[in-house]
Amino acid sequence: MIGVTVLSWGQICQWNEGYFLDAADDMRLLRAKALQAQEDMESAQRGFVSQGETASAIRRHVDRLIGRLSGRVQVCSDVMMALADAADGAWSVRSKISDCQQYAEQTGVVLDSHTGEVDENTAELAAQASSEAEYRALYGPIQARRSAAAALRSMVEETLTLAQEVHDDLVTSLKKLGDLDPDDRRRQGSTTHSPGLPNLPKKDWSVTETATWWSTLSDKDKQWLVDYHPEVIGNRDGVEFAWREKANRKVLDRLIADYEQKYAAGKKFIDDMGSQPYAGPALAREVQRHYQVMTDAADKLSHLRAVQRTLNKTADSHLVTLDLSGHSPKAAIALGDMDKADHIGIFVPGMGTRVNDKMEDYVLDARNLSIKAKNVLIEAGESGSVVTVAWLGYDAPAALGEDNFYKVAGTGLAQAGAERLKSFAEGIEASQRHHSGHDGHLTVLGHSYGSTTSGLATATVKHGVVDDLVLFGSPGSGVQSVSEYNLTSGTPYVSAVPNGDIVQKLGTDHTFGKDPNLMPGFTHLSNDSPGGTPGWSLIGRHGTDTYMHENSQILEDMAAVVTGTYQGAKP
Amino acid sequence: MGEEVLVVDGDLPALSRSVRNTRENYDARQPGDPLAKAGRGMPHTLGGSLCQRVAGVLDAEWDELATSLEDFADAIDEAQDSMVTTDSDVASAFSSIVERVKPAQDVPAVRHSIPRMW
Repeated sequence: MIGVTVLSWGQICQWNEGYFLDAADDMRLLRAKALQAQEDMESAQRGFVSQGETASAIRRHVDRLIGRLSGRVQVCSDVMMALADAADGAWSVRSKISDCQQYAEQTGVVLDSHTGEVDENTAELAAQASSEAEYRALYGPIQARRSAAAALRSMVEETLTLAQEVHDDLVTSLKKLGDLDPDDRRRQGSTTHSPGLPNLPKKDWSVTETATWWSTLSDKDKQWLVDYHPEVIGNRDGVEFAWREKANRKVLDRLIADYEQKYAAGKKFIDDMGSQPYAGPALAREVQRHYQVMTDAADKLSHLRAVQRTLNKTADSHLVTLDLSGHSPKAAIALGDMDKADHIGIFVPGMGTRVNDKMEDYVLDARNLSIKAKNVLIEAGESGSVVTVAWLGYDAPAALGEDNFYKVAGTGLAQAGAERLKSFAEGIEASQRHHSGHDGHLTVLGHSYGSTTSGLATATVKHGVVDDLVLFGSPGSGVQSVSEYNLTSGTPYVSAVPNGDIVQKLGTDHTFGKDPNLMPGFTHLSNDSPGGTPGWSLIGRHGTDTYMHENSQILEDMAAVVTGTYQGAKP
Repeated sequence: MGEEVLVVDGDLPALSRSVRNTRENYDARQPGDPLAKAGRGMPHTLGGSLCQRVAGVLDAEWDELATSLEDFADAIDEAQDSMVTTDSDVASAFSSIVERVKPAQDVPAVRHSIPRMW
């Protein structure tokens, strides 16, 4: 029975994932030392060429010592991964505690920092009333307070439950470590490619665990993974982006070859059958099946070739996501070295985003933003590298008139996309911290439906990951109050052209969140742009050609936010 | 008369040097420090205090293996010094030295050392 100790709110408020992260990193170095010692002994054994009883006795002893060193490698590996898991858990707990504190502040209820008890604080409201009429008028606000208090109690309970799980997992890992003797540890680790650790990342690992595991691998191990398991590495958040790019390029080439072959085989079958007389329903069904394979292959090829074309024509482009699962293919292209970037801007497009017909345009938008941001840095007399990303990494609603267009009316796709975006952003943080010791300034820029996706992601992302948020042409912010965002800077930005954008504030407050253009707490960027499609257009001046037009003041302001140099007035 | 000594000249000193180098590299740091540090990330909890306790046990294991490496290098040196006329004599000398120092397989497992408090 592990959960014999029940954690208190006061206890978990003292948790600090930084200690676990540092300790996991120290343990990684220690593991490397033990592994080196084991390899040194193996090398010494190979160099020992004597024969006879003496030599045999010595060899037996060396074998035992190698085994014990291997056991130490296993211990270090186990402790390192347990600490990485605890670090990620403590990070999540700290983020949830902060969410609770923000919610209390936003709603006026009181959260006791020691006990976690929630006080409705209705006395404060009652004190404002001096007449019976005023008391009666307080009925609504008091009910709202009570609802907020109930909601906060659930949040506190949820946070304590998560903390208990994180704590008990750590205790279980340490207990398991104590239950294994050194020989068991050696056997456990002896069958893997990287001693003491699994060959491949486990499916349920967090980004911190993945980044910790990846940081123990040699370049040779990493190359082996890229060669033999590129589909596992290419989209795995927490893995270095330079290696993700190598893996995804390999997958891209392989998929293009596979689908070309499928298309050719289907076409040949249908062509061959075309010259034959009708041979019954069974053959007709077979023709139908081949036709389906052929059209599916053609569709996939259109997406894959768009990615390939964009990469070929864009300098310093890196394929950091490639995923054919889900409703439509997903991809993300970064313009520069993500692992060492000082400023990163993730551009999240919206409705109608399809890799096959939008990737080139959006990479061009990202390129415009990147060029502008670099100029802003030069003009400000500051140094630093800038990387922008065209992130087509989620299933966006279809464009007007297409099959799944109705999904634009709901936030289901935005919520699913927010999960993916959140993981991608946390992967950047974990990857930079583990692999280059960097902590780049990260801005998420969401357009249209992508702004709701970005808002929802920023409200649930771990603290310290997203520094700034820019929403433009937004149907809804994804939140009811800016305090729900987990932003390092604490200030989100919005841009909305004054007229002609029919998607702005289109969503209902309840589902899409409030209109960022009208919400208190948003900093308003310029709404001045020469771009957009004037005259008759179903979406009016909503497209990125309005907001990310290379000569617009809006783009200039976005570039200033991305580089952390924005000087305009804040609320 | 025992069989001929088959130990190649220079083999034992080379092995001894390698073992001592290994020991020095291996023993430069211990696992206790990181674990103790981790314990501060979750203060006043069972998990936090368990980090501290396991740190002590791992350090002891770490030390014990470092000592075994040192003793092994010493044993090789002594065997080299006491090299006599036959291989079986050298083997016997080596074995007696290894027996005299702590046997390699006699390692206290961590499970005996952590108080069962969960």
